[in-house]
Order: sequence, then C-alpha cells, then structure tokens
Amino acid sequence: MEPEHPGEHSSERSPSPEERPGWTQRVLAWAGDDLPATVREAQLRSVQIALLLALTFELTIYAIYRRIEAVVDMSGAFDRQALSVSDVAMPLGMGLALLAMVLAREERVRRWSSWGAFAVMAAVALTLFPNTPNHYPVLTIAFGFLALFDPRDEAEQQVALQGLRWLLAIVLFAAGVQKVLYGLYFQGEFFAYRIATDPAFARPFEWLMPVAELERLRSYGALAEGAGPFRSSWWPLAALANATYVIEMLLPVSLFWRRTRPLGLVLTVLFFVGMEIAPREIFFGIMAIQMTLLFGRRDWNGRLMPMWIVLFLVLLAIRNIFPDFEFY
Amino acid sequence: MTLRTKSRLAAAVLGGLLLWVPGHKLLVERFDLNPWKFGGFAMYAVPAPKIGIGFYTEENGSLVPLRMQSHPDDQPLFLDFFSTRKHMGMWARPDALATRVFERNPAIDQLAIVITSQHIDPQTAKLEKTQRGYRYQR
Repeated sequence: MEPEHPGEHSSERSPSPEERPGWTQRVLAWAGDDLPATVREAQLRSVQIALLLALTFELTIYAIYRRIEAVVDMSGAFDRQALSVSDVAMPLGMGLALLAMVLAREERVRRWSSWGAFAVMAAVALTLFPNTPNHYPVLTIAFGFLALFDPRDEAEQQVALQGLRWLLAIVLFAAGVQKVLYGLYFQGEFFAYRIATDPAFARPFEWLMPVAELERLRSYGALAEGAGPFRSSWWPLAALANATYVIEMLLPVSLFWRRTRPLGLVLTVLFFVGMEIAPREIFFGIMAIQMTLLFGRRDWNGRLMPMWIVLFLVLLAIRNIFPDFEFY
Repeated sequence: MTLRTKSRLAAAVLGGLLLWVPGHKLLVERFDLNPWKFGGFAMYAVPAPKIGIGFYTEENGSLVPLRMQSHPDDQPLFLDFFSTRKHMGMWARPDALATRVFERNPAIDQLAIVITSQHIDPQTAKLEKTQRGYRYQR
C-alpha cells in the first residue's frame, strides 16, 4: 500500500536527531515501563491530587494547631507579639493547596494547578527557611515536574512519570548514603543514643533488650561530655542499624529493575509504614508512599484516595482527643 | 520548550539533588549546620543538634560567668537566636545578643559568648562537645 503522502512512512522512518532520545532521556527511562497511556495519565493525575490532599492536611495541622498553641497562652489570651509571617503564610498556603487540588481534577486546568502548587510549595518552603522540612523541597520538585511536562502529551507524560520515580529513588538512596557517611550505624551507635535519650524510642526495646544493657544506655541520660560509649553488645541492635541503610540503598535498585519492581514496591511501602512506628514523621511517610505507588502498574493513588481521606480524618480526631500525640 | 530540553532540565534537577548529598555533608562538617535540615536527608543519621550558650566577662584578666541582668522582652531575641544557630551553625553569629547584653549590663566592657554544640564521635561512640567563642568590646 502506497503512503498517502510520498516520503511519509510514519511508522518506519528513522527519527530525526531532534526526535531521537538524548542520553538524559535514556537515563530517565531506566525508571520507565510499558504502561498504557491511560494508566500513566491516571497515575499522574492521582498523584497530583493525593500529594495536594496531604499537603492541605499538613498545612491545616500547622495553621490550626501548632500556631494556635503558640499564640494563645494557657489563660486563653491572644499574644499578638507571637504572631509571625508563617501565621499568615500557612493558612494562605492551605487554602491555595486546597484550590489547586480541586483544579487538578479538571483536565483543562490541571497544568495551571501544578504551576500553582509549585509556587505555593516554593513560597512555603522559603517562608519556613531555615526550619524547612526536608519533604518540602521534594514536593516542590515533584510539582515542578508535573507542571513542566504536558499531561496531555503521551511522550511528556512518560518522562514526567520517570522523573517522579527517580525523585523518590534518590531521596531513599540519599537517606541510606548519609547514614554511611556519618558512621553512626555500623555498631548501632545512633540507635543506642536514641534509646538512652528518648523514652518513646526506647519503649519497644524494653521488651527485647537485655535489662542490664538497657540500663547501661539509660544511665547516660544526663549527657555529660564523655558520656558513652553509645554502642551495644546486644548484636540485634547493630544488625537492625546496618539493615536500615542497606535496605534504603537496595530498595531503589529493586524498584528500577522491572523483574523485582512489584516486590520492591510492596517492600518500600512496608518500609515507610514501619518507619512511622518510632519517628512518626507522618507527612514525609505519606508523601513517600504516594510517590512509591507510582512504580505500580495500576493507578494505586486513585484507588487509595478514600483511604487517605479517612486516614487524615482519623489523625485529626486523634490530635483533638490526645493533644500530646505529636506527629510531624 | 522541546521534550529534550525539558528532560535535560529534569535530569539536571535530579542530578543536582544527588550531588547535594555529599555537598550537604561537607557544609555540615565545615560550618556546623543542622544535618537534619537543608534537604540533605541526613535526619536520623546523627542525633538532632543541641546547643548551649554561655556568657562571660573579664575580671582581673580571666573570664568569669556573667551574672546577667536580663529582661522578659529579651526572650524572643534569645529564642530566635537559639533556633537560627541550631540550623545555620557558624553562619549565625551572636552579634545581636551581644548588643542586647551590653545594653542590659552597663557595668561590663568585655563580653565573651561561648556556644557549645555536641556530637557523637564515630571512633569512640562517646559524646563530645565543641565550643566556639565570640569576643566583644563595648
């Protein structure tokens, strides 16, 4: 069959140098897949809404609870002097994140929502500097990617998804590398220090660790110069510490290798859930899980949206009933 | 903007994030920055920083702890410095504190502010304290 226009063999012609993927695209494609365009498009839409939902919840907690506690003293009097820039920025950011989430549901304006989320996130991160939580730069980059790539273009969708997957993998890998660089995990030093100084962290170990070893670590509680050594003769503590950074560095590899990707996805989600038991870095954990779900072959963020909403409502209720229950 | 340009931009951001990890470590070591902050993902790699501040004046050629006259209005300034110093390390100098201390304590002419930070030595696994001093003349 002759082509309609001579010289136009759309499926067979070799791509021009401009169309051929460059090395950056080839490296980004290590995190790629062969998903149908509809699934990819749904994944990008859902992760944008899910991240904005989590951000709205986080800024709500910050704006309503943390700052109210800071500016209203025990007698209920309002302390105008304690007001800061973030008292205006946080509720404003919360409102704008909510608006961006609503707009993200509309195909026509979704990209505008991404640009808006990017701007809000960057502004909030700068407002809080130098006390900016580490997941805010990650969210800023994530919204930047969602805004940069056109969600209606199939090729751009693919690179956007690859970029977001790389972002999660780098964060996870970096956390493992830092533990190696600082050198306080090889003999369980960091965990031993936390057991000595943080009763909440020590609680699970009360059931497991030899009493004499636990008491030795706790005896350093006053933390005078020369206190220590913060090492444990109880080998499971060192094993747990070493497993932590090894897992953090291996999980991204398991997510990139397509054969191990489904298992890697499950293990990475379980790892982030497990991490919440002690540090309760809930907002970081939620963001990380939402981005990990992008490695799935289905739109898991879309399917789990009701679960996120229920989780946030439960956390709000817990925060109301138990004001001392802190999460970050 | 072409897809190739956008991909390069995304790759540059991701590459920068990866390179920031050792860069962050170097800056933390050199300037005593908070390892838990600045997007270096070193939270839970080391204990969160704790700092202490001591005020000294010179009497008969030696430094003695200052019996400070302070005012409740000074509290925000001190708390703000504590917070900033904890994160910014040596990039946050206590100059504003010194000015306020001189204002509240007209009898002193010399002031030394000593900032103590603590860390665990990976070799010995024991707690070590590092002190940095700042001297001021009225």
